[in-house]
Amino acid sequence: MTVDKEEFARQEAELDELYREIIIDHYRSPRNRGKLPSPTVSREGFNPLCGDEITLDLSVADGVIVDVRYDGQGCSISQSSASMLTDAVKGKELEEARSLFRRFQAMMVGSGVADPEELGDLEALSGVRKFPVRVKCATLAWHTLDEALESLLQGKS
Amino acid sequence: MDGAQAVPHVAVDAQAIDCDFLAFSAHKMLGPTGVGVLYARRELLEEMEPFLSGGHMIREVRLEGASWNEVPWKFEAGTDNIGDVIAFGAALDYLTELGMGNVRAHEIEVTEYALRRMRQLEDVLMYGPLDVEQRAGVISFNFADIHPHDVGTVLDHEGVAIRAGHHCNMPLMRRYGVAGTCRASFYVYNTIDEADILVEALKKVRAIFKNDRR
Repeated sequence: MTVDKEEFARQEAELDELYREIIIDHYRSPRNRGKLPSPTVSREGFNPLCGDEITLDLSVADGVIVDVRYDGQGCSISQSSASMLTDAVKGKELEEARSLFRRFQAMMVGSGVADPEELGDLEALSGVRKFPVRVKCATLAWHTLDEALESLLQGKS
Repeated sequence: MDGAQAVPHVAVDAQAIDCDFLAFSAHKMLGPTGVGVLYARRELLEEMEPFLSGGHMIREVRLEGASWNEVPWKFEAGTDNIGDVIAFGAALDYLTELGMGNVRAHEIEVTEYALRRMRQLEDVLMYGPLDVEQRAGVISFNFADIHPHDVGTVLDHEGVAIRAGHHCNMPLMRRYGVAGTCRASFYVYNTIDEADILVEALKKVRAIFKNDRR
């Protein structure tokens, strides 16, 4: 078997981009993991194809996410993405969190409207784009967040 | 009897084991997808009614009724998947020429080597009997702290194709208390060198997923 050296180097680089240290760190040392005793809203997300599960609890006061926890199981991408999400949305207003979801989503589908700079640590997940079958892993927690926000914003109006 | 897993790997004599029906699939034995074999004892096939109507399966049709063609045409209504059947025939000829005993012996040789090398990786959990004679040419394994899909992605990028997940057996995964397993399988075209490549790729998995807490 002969492997083109350039092709091999390109694949290695892709792998490094996917599994950046910060992702492994969130996988190994999850932030805000667990459940809230009395969340304002709790939503479950499930990816039946790969078995990844996320439960997201939000505690909201005066339109601001004052606390957030996630629980679940799955691959490093789905779990680290959930962990990073909790860091990113804590202290944000509901509309701000929703705007962040949209920018994250845009980054994951590569539509180019996202400025990676303003996504902070979340930018680390941009490497997942090169792995189309894993994009669902990275977005699972975010779709769960979007559903939770939707129910809160609906309830308010 | 479902022979899809055994027939490609060991010599099976359907008459010697005296089974009524034996099914197996081309895609697990060097053939194309969408074609397979159903063996059945002739007297059973002769008793059975057709399940599908169409060309080939009738002997005579009248307004008042119809009679059926002989076995096996009685069950082969319409236009067959001709190209794939011919391709499967070529695959079967190839395997027959190799000899199923040699196919099995080669699998045992590669699997035994891979098992031995993988067991030297201290944090790789192995499932199934360690005696290679007691297993097929597949090795199921896991890293205790790394999800099988992550292992699969890294191995894929190292040029090693494995299967990761529940392998159509969720109850067994639940019994083991795992999300899934990784599964490497070997066939006539795999070599000892490739088992080495697998082991090196597994070291790469550990290098990416360092575990500083141990």
